[in-house]
Formats: sequence, structure tokens, C-alpha cells
Amino acid sequence: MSNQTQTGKVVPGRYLARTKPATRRFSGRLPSGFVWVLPLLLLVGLVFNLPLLMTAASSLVDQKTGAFTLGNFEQVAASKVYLPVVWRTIRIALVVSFACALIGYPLAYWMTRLSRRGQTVALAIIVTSFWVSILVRTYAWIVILGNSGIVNRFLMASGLTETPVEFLYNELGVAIGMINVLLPFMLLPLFAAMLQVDPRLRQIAFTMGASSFQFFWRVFFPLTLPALGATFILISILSLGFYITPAILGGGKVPLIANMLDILINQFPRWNLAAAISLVLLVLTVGLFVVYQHLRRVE
Amino acid sequence: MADLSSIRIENLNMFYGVYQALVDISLSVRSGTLTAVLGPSGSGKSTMLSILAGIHMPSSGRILVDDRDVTFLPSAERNVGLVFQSYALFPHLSVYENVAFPLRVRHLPEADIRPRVMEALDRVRISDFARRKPAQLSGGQQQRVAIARAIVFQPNVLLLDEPLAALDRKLREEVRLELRHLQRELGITTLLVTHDQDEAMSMADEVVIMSEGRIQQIAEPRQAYHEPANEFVAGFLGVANVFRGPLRAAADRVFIELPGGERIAAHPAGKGIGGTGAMVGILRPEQIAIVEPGTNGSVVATVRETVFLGEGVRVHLQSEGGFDFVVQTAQTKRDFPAGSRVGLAWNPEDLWLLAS
Repeated sequence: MSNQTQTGKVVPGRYLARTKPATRRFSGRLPSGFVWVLPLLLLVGLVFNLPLLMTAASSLVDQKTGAFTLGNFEQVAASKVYLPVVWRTIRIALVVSFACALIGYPLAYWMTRLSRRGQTVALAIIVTSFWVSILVRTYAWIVILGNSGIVNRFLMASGLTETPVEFLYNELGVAIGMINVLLPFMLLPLFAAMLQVDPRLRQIAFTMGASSFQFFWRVFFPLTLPALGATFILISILSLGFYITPAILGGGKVPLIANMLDILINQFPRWNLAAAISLVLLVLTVGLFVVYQHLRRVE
Repeated sequence: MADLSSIRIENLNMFYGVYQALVDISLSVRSGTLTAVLGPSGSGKSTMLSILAGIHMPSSGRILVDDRDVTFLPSAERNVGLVFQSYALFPHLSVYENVAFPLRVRHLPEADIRPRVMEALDRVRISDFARRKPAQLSGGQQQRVAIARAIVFQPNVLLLDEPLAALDRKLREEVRLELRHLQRELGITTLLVTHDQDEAMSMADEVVIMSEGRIQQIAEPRQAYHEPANEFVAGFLGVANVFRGPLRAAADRVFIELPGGERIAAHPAGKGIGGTGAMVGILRPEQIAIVEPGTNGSVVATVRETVFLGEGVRVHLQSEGGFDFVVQTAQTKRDFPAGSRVGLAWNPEDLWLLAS
């Protein structure tokens, strides 16, 4: 049944003239209205999918001879330069995701315990962080974390350290910058998931003799764990593609996959090798995305 | 079983800002009995329950359970079993673990937990579903789990917040009886909050009728129905014919004189309130009989409409003076054609009199 025939029965007679002739069963199997989506599908295919396939194809081509080869992937796997960058990207993605979870979960939980007004203020503060460009925020960290920045001045003034702590141009600095950018992406979905937990569960758990601690570990945490897992994966996916933050806060010393691709393409044009590394990144991301979708279904 | 206990509420007041949700509530529940708190939504009955459960603290007043003041005790230390209308089962735990929860948080050894959980599950006849998750159960089954979970730790008091409201009618009547049976068997002091007068009447030893934060009447169901304390109670507990007018006496007969001139016969001694002056008389539809017009002492009325109820027929009539009567008769096979004239008669002793 198409929509048109159904609405045609329901609407009063004077509207009937305006309903279009039924276009149902345009084609045996295609869903109705497929024709109208076709241009968009073509656009998506042409602009997004085709380049992706071309990238995949070029990863299998030798740059000099143009012949089919697996050499690009072999080079990535064997190289002392490329593979460590892939590992570092994965490592930093995990560190950042863990840190976001460790900071984000308690923060989101705290937000659920606020009054309605308090929640609105907290959400507003989180959302305003999106108004400032990532570039500006990342440069701000240089000022804050530098050798004479506010953090080091505080640390030295309080006597916790004699010499400035090296926050910048290492993995720590990159991780701090990335956590700062990604924390809202952790907070918002987690907060939304926590609000889904029926407040009566808390009340009833208390009447049954549970302490706040027992309620949290036996009820609240297990109920929000799938959401935490899903957001963890989401942050990992986003971390894998980071470019600006490692470029600035790493000062060129902590390249991640995206930075390496930039070098491979812009410094010494090795498109086919870059394509192979892109594909590695793509596979990683898609793999994580599958896990993410699975966790969301559990949720 | 835990000691039989009684609940005593003394002068409870609850303010939300300037709004007063509870006004000077005092009541007591005898050990082992079931008291139903009945009222429309917004009457304060749920607020009262949440205060008893320790979810909210009252603005003033005291709550005693077994003569122990629990007014400001946290929920966890009150030892009350609570069943919500929405059941509030833990969705990630199996039926077994839901019921085991109150025992686990008390750090009971596993060997004690199992038999007690199984016993509670048996009592509500749900042991076959012990391994299922709440989402895999029907509404009625979930409700049984909620009850098992509320009784497994042998609470002093059981609080039921509209426990049957989410069930369909047939199941509701079934569970009503079962719940009543279970409550008697366990002898647990129970407070049931409901807006359904049938539920309250059929289950409770005593009903507390509330409106706008105040208690209107505390009585046994039968008494509350036939001898309501005021017009609100009369109207809330089923249908009532409410007669307003001065109470007069002529010869040896006492009656309320309606504005339309009809005389509504009352008992000379006057059940309820005696004296003369403006009165309110209350008769239940089934207390009025339909007789031949002109029968001595009857009121003549014209049939307007009949409603077939299955177990009876409800007849709406209008008297010559313009009063709208509602009569219910068990004569389901008899016809009352609209427009026909009949007589209405009742035992004058049944007329319940209230001061206007």
C-alpha cells in the first residue's frame, strides 16, 4: 500500500482533486519514492563513496610502475616510522578515551543530581565550549601549559616542583588537548543516558535497605555501563582522526596518523602509501563503529 | 514472620512552598490489618505514602511504627516494603536477583538468600520465571515480582502505591483477591494507596478517604459507603442520591422537603444527625425500589434512561418536582421503557442524614 491511496480514502472529498495520481508499485521491489532519492544517492556515491574506493584502489598500486602491488601495506607493516605512528595513535586514543571516561562519568553523574536549573547551567557551560574554535582552544593550552604558563608557575610557587614540568610537545600535552576537546562528547551522551534511569529505582532501593554506595554499584553503574562503553568507543573513533591538536601541542614531535598523512601527501608526495595508511585508519574506525553500534543496541 | 506492627501518624503537615499538600493528618493502622487510603489525584495520598517510605520528610508531625519514632529515619532503616505502580524492577537483574536484592544489600550469606528468595517467589507463584529479566514478563508477572521483592526481607510494614492500576480489569480483580489473601497470610500491616474505590472497598479492613490534603473520613468500607461523613465521601464512593432541604415533621412522619415539593421519607429517630433545619439526605441507588405508581409513601417519577450494567440495571428518573433520581435494581430482565411512570420507595431508615 502506498501512502497516497490511504490518505485518498481519509481526506474529505474537496481535497481529493489535489492528491496526485497514485505512484505506487513504480517498480517491483524498490521502495516507493525511490526515484526522488536517486539524485541524492548519486551525489553521495559520486562525492563520498567513489573517492573512498579510489583511495582503496590506489593503495594497491605501485607509485612508479602503476602495477598492482601489496607493497604499500608491506611497507607500512615493516616500517620503523609508519607502524609506530599507528600504534601511538591507538595508544593516545585509548588514553584519551579512558581519561574522558574517568572525568566524564563522575561529572555526568554529578549533573544528574543537580536541580533542573543547575542542570541547565551545567549544560550551557558545556555547550559554550563548542563556540570556541578548536584551533583557538588548542593555542590557549600553549599559554596555560608552557614553561612560564599558569600551571607551571603554580607548581613552582607551591614548591611541588623545582623546574617547569614539560607539558608541551609530548604525548601528555597532546592528550590533555584532546581530552579538553573531546570531554563534551563524553558528557552529553552519558548525561542523557543517566537521565533515562528511573528515579524510582533509587527510592525503592533505599527502602529495601541499600546504601547510596550499594545503589550506585549494584544498580546505577550496571545500568549506565552500556552507555559508558558506547561513548568510550565514540571518543576513540573521534581520537583516531585528530590532526590540529597533535600538530600544535605535539610541535611536530608527536605525529598521529592524520599528521603523518599530511606529511606523506604534502611534503614528499607518496599518495599510494598514504592511501594504504588511510585504509588502515578506515578499518580501525569501522571496526570500532561496529562495536559502538552493538553497544548502543544493548543500551 | 516479623512482629506485627502498627503505624501511627500524628498531625502530619506537608508544605511545598505555600501549597499545603497534607493538612494535619492523623491516623493509625492496627497491626496486621490493611488500610486503604482513597482519594482523587492531588488529594495528598501519594505524598503521605512517600513520607511513610522515607522518600520525603514532612514539614511537621510524627510517624511511629510500633511506637518507634521513624519520622526522620532514612528509608533504609525503616524496614518498609514498597511497591510502586510502575513496579520499578531493576531492568538489568533477573527476577531472582531482583528479589534477592534486599537480602544482598544486607550482606546475608548466600545459603540464607536462596531459600528465602524461592519462598517469596513461591508465595506469589512466579518461581518458574526466576531466571527471566523483567522485560520478558507481562505486567501481572512483573507486579508479582515487585510484591515478592517487597516482602522477602520481612518488613514491618508494606506500602502499596496504586499496585493494581497498571493491570487490566479482569487481572486486577484476580490480583486484588490474591494480594488480600497474601496480606492476611503474612499478617503484615499494610497501607494501600489508591484512587479506585472498588479496590479500596474490596481489600481494606478500613478506608481513609482523603481530599485536598485532608482526611474526610476513616471507617470500615461498609460504614463509609452507607454512612458517609460528608457529601464528598458520599459522591466519591459510588453513586448517591443527594437530597437537600429542610427536615420537617408532619403527623408521625419525618421527611426532607425538596424545593420541588416532594417529601423524602426519613426515619423519625433520624439516623445520623437529628434535629430540624436544612439537611442533606443520602440514599444509594440500590436502596431505592421501583414500585407501582401510587403505592403508599412512594414518590412518583418518570423513567428517562436505563443503563444495563450486567449485574444490574441503573435507571435514571425524574420526579414530578424535577429531582433526578438514580436507582439500581437487580431485576436485569425487567424493562423500564423511557417515559413510563413508576413509584420509588425505600426504607426510611436507610436515608442517611447529614447537616447541610
